This record gives sequence, C-alpha cells and structure tokens, in this order.
Amino acid sequence: MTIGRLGNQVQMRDINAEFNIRPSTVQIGLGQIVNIYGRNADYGNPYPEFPWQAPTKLSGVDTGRGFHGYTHRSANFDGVNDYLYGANTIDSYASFQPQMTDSFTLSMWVRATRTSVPQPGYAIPLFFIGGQNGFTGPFFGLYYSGRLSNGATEDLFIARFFRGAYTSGPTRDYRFRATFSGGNIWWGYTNPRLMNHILLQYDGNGPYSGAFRMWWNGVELGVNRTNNYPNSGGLVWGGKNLRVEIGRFPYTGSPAGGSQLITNVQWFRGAVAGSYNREMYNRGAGAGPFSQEITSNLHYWPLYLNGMDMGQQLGGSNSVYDLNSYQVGFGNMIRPVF
Amino acid sequence: MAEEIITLGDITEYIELPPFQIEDWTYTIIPINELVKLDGDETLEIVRYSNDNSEFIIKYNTSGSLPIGYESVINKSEYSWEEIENVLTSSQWVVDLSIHEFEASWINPESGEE
Repeated sequence: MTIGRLGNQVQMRDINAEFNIRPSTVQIGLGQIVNIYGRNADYGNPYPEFPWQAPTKLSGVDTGRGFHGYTHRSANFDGVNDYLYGANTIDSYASFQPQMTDSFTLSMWVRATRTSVPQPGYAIPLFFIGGQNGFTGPFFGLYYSGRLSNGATEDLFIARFFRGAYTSGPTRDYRFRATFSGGNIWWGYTNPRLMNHILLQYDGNGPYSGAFRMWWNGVELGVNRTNNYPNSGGLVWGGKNLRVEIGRFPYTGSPAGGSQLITNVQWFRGAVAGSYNREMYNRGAGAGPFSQEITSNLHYWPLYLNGMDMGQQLGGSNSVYDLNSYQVGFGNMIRPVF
Repeated sequence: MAEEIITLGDITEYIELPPFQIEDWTYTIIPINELVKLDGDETLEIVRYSNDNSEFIIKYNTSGSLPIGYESVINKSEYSWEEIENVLTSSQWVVDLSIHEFEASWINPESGEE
C-alpha cells in the first residue's frame, strides 16, 4: 500500500480519503480534531536503549544549562502558519469542561527552534484550552513571552484563566520567570534533539497564592507576579466549538511569533504535578498518575494519527482522553498535516 | 489507491514513513498581482499576506511538485525556513502580538510591578 504525496508526506486528506470520512467527523478521544497544522519533525534514529522515543530526563543529557530530554519525533511548528487545533474537543464531553475551581496538571515537552535574537513582540503560544468561537469565551492559556514590542526582554511564562472573553482580562494570571541558565531566552539551543519539560499545575483553590505552580526541566520556577480575582462562580463553559489549540494565539489567530517543537502534551485532572513530577519528567511522557507498568519503560500515549488509535492503554482502551482520569495526551507520534 | 481501504492495523505503516523536515520546505514571496498565475490545488498554500496585502507567502515541500504556474511567476523570492523567519520580522510582515502586552493593565498594581 502506498499512501502519501509530496515525498511520502501523509496528509489529513489522504487519511480521510482512505477511510471515506470527512475531517469534521474524525473522532478523537477528546472529541474531534478537524484540522491539525504543524509538521512532524524527526532528528535521526532514537536511542536504542529508549525505543519509545519519548523525551525524558533519563534519555537526556546534562548540557550545563540543565538537564534536557531528547526526542526522536515531535510536531514542528514553523512559526509561520503551523498550529494544532482541535475544534469541538470539549463540549463533546460535558464532564470535561474545566472550571476555575477544578485542578489540573499540564505536562509537555517543548523546544523553541529560533537560534537568533527574535523580533520585538516575540512570544510562543504553547497551550490553550476552552474558548468559544475564536476564544470569545472562557479559556485557559499558557504561553511564553520573550520580548515586548519595544524590544525589552520579558522572558516569562504566562499562565492564566479567563473567565470571560479575552478582552475582559484574566481572572487568574500567573507569570513565571524563566531560568535559562547559560542559555538565551528563546531557547535556541543548537542541538535539535534537546527538549525541555514544562509542567504546570493549577490547584483550583481560587485566588490564593500558589494557585499555579510551574516546573521547567524539573526545577520549580519562581512566581514573578500574579493577579487573582475571586472565582465568582468559576468558569461557565457553554455552547459549542470549545477547543484545544497548540502553537498559535487563539485570540489573534496568529501562529507567528515563535517556532517550536512540541511533543507529548498531556493534561491531567487534579493537581498532581507535585506528586508526579519525577515520573513525568524523569521517566517520560505518559508517566504519572495513569502510567503503564508493563515494563519499566512503557508509559506514554502516542497519538498515531488523527482520530486513530490515540493513547493505546493497557487493556485495549483507546483514547487520548480518558473520561475517568480527565487525561489528554498528544503523543510523540503526532502526525499533523503538512 | 483511492479505493483501497486500510485498517487500523495498517496505521503502523504510516508511522514508518519518513517524517517531515522543516528544511524540506521552501517559502516564496509573490506579488499579489501574480496570484492568477498559480493554481496549486494540492500543493499551493497561501500561508500569509503582507500587512498591506501587496504580497503573499506560499510554502511547498521541495521534495514534491511545484504549484502549477509557479515557474511563470515573475519576481518571486524564495526563502528557506530560517530565512523566512527573518523576513517576517520586518514591519511589512510581522504580526502584531502586542495584544498580550496590554495585559499589563490587568496586572494587580499591588504586585509592585508594572
């Protein structure tokens, strides 16, 4: 069987054609992904001793700038027009509509690919969930802000909840000072296989100090500043077209600003980062509260293809999103369009 | 190929396909008045217009076929990914991300910074 075009490039429409289904009906565990942009990146053979090809601390290297995981494959967002977008990903499951009072943990491996000083206004969109019709509704977002438009260095990770529309401002806003010891703010390390682990935890406890905590390659970052307002009943998710987006700013629609590699994105229900940091960082994506222990190294959830066989779990359960654990994973086998 | 049905078990074949390399892509800036010469269908993708809508960027995989009409386009400029990133830093192309900066007004003044 031969499938593909443009030099064995498999595209969403190829798959859909084969299965005779339209993009809008492609099911994933969490709901639906109707479009995925970004491209798969590959940087050579995986380490034979780590055949699962997921970045972990244990498969990484100490560069003197910290300990970084290696990855064999990841989604490559070029900062020009690539992004991952899963529409209707939330409302399909009413129980998965994280409220302000719900705790969660986000784990992902990233590497910015820019190696020179970026333009003013440089920022890297990392992860957004929620929103409605262009993120006019409530959502959670995480991004990296490198430079302001006036050229000043900011160098912050920004995590925030918006109870309403973006223009109304965040109800909960945390900024973490990145600590790139020996590196630069745009993470432009020369070795393309080095990945960095981001772990973000939200405790759901309301406007108290420490609602968000963040780790960078296993090291907890200091909170630069915060902005908290009372829950006021928490978020109110409603309507349709709620979504997960990676690699672009949903409120501007722009993927530009930062090119990056991303892999093994996971969303866990509960503030479990403190308990599972070692597993998720040291032992690889997929480790954590729902990790597999068939062997010591089998513990990640690959997303093979759009809508197919995501997150194969022990026992044959087949979903990236697990209804019981509120767990979402975009694995290192991600095969986006392009 | 169009009629061939694959099964879930065949998915593994996709996994073994060569992955995409960002270096395999070429970005081309083309004047808007040359747009009529292009008919890429499967291969043509306009990824961005300049701020004044006078030019646009397409990108294509160098291992694949060129967009139809590409060769007839005059004054096209080709860039690698690394080069196009730098091009995009100019005011003609840059996307205004300063929206996240007005967030400064959202920060609690009591935090002591602003």
